[in-house]
Amino acid sequence: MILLLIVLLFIGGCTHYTAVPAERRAIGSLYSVKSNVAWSQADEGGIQLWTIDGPLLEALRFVTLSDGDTLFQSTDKDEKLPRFRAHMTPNEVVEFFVASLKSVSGGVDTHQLSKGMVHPAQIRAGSINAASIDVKNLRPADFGRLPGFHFDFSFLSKEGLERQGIALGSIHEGRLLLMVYSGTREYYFDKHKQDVETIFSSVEIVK
Amino acid sequence: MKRFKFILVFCLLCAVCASCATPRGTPGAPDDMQPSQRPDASSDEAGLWMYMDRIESRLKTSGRVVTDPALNAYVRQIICKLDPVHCADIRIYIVDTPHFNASMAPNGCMQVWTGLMLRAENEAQLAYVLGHEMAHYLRRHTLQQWRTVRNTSTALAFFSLATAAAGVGFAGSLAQLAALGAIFAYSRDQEREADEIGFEIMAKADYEPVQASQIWGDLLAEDEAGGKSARSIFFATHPTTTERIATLRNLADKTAKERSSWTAGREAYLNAIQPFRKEWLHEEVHKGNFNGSMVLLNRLLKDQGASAELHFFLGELYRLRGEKDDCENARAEYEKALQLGNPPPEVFRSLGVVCLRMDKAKEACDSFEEYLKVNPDASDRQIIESYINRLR
Amino acid sequence: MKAKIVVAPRRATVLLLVSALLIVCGGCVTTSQRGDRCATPPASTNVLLIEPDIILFELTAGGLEEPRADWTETAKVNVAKKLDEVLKKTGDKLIPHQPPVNVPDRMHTQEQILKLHEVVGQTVLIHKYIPLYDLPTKQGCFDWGLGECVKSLKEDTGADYALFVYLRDSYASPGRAALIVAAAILGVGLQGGVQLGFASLVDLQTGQIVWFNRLISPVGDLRTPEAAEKAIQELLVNNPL
Repeated sequence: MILLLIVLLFIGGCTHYTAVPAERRAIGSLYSVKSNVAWSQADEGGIQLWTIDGPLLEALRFVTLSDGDTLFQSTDKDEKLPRFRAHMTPNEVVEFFVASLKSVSGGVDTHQLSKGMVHPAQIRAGSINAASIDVKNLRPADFGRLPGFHFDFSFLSKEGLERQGIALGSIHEGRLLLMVYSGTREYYFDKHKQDVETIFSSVEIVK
Repeated sequence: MKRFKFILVFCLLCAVCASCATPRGTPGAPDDMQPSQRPDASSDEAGLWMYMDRIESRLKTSGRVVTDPALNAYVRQIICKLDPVHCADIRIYIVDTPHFNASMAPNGCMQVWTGLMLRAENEAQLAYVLGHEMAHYLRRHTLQQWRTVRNTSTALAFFSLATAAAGVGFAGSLAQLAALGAIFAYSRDQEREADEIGFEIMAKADYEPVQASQIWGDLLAEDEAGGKSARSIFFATHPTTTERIATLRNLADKTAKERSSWTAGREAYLNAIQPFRKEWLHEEVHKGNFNGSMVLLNRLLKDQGASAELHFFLGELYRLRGEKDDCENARAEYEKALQLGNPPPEVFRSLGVVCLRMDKAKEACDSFEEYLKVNPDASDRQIIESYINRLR
Repeated sequence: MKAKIVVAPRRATVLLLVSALLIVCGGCVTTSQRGDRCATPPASTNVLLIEPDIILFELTAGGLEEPRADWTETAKVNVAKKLDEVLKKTGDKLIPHQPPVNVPDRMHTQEQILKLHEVVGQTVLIHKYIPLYDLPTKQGCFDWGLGECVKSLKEDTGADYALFVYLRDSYASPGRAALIVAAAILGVGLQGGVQLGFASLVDLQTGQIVWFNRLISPVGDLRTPEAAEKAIQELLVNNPL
């Protein structure tokens, strides 16, 4: 019984997602963005994740990597994950991004979920776990006042659900600044794409 | 009373060790799968089939299946050559993933992963692996495995492995899967039985027996080079040691004497996979397993001779590995590819990137320009133009 | 025979405790949700029944779930039959979904709809039923949908709504049942079978989920038509049809 009470307290005081109001917001110490709509935010092992309908449906991720960092953290210490290198060109960053998406495995099991069992790592994996990744339209673009690049991508999730995405990034002083938005091709990607493009064009680099 | 106890203990042991020595013909051994046979609806086998049917229907719409009619027809004719009696019950799925694996589910769903097809050097090698898997199917080894594990705590993981190994929900963390696979590995007796039946099937179809130990020897070498984190799911579920490969070799020598000429089917095989090799090599080098992939590419170069395609991808491995001297190593491979003629057009882009890294601005610029000339419809044209503008 | 008690967790993780918590406090937990600003369906309407995703397991003495093909087949028949009867009573017509054949475009679209629904269902189960994962952007509101792609289903079948059903159910084997009785005598709680799942009703004009229900229940038996009726009533509680 005491154990249950402790659990109740734990749950009561702790939520995974916090509110992001529609205003200018710092992303780490390097830049800020402004959104016209409110989002829910979670921290996903070093990546800041924003969503409105739930990360399995759509998610905007803010990533800042240094030389040698992996895009996602793995629970498997032995796993060889692709690493960002400061000498990468934008098209090599795209290669790194694609290889990283492919390296995510696992996901949500509805049967386990209907028993109330799910882990944040499964939710993250459930929204990626990609195959058939196709990148198009890699082009130069502004990341605030920094020179950067923009690309479109599409992929299939583990269950064969089609997903789409856009990304804006910049390699600055040896670090990769990347904003990636993806959602289900049917309905959810389009639902908030405009809001995300607005965020992309609102980047202000901290002096 | 003593005798009764002994029988009881023996029966219990048999029940516990269901996957142990119950080869064909021994009392209590499962019958061979008969053509068009379906299990009784209330049996545990039927439950297993139902799960496998679900996995199969998900696999069908997963977008990970290679549907090319010619390639599928080619693999299908190998299966029917191996076993004309059962081939009507077998549904083949070529799964697009750069890992070596083949498997057969109890319901007749066979998977061949493109990583396997990239590695086989001839039709006989592919045929052997497929024949080996068919032996597991004919002897119902998966059902035996299920019966052994279902009374243990690892049983629940059985279906997640089946799902993962089905290529659905599988995209990485091979080490995790391999660890899981080790729990459900076929027993040594099951492997021995599959080897023997695989050989029977292969020999009847005229395939050269020595190719069996050849393909597994090659795979083992690659696996060892790749290190712990690149452990293969195939080897996790099919315990393979150098001793077993030696046994396979002896078996091959014995079988080989039965006939004067055998088929390896090298040309037919290389022709069949030619349209797909570039894509499969691309997936392979981007796996991030540089050491393993290098062993593979060097073996293919040795077996098939110099090719612009293979040298280009070897260059890609160096470029992606990015260790000391790798820029130079990559550049050397790209130059070889160019000399051999007709390289993949991406070679110019990659050459530009490594020259950039080596601060050779003019050469980088020239390479990028050549890339755009050769690739007028490049989807990354705009970014490459921006590199050229910055370099000028 | 079913008994509902908590299994002592093997690993002291919050998540397992949460699930135990749900089952204990749940008992007969069925919490349904209504879509925001969704029109109430008219008096008599056509409802497309997407093939229910059902698996029935046998719960062995060792506590493991073994899938049963025969029970699953029977359950699918019983569920479809009972749903049909229940809907007829409210003047609605149930149309079983026949996926298109030999029309690759339509097949592809409808496959994507089903896959999208599964992920939306998972999203609702995570973010509406597990307090730890509540989304501030969904506080006090329920506005999930599948978008306009569902029109393909409406055009094909003439249905106004689509009903999705996901069920997993397990039944104690005789060995398990005996064990439960024996354990109870010793004062130890052992889990019998539990019915888990969810159902959702989608408006095929707007794509919105107008009603969603999550089920955790030890009641009902899908293997017989009479007992299945109780389970279906539990599943369809508070539906707007």
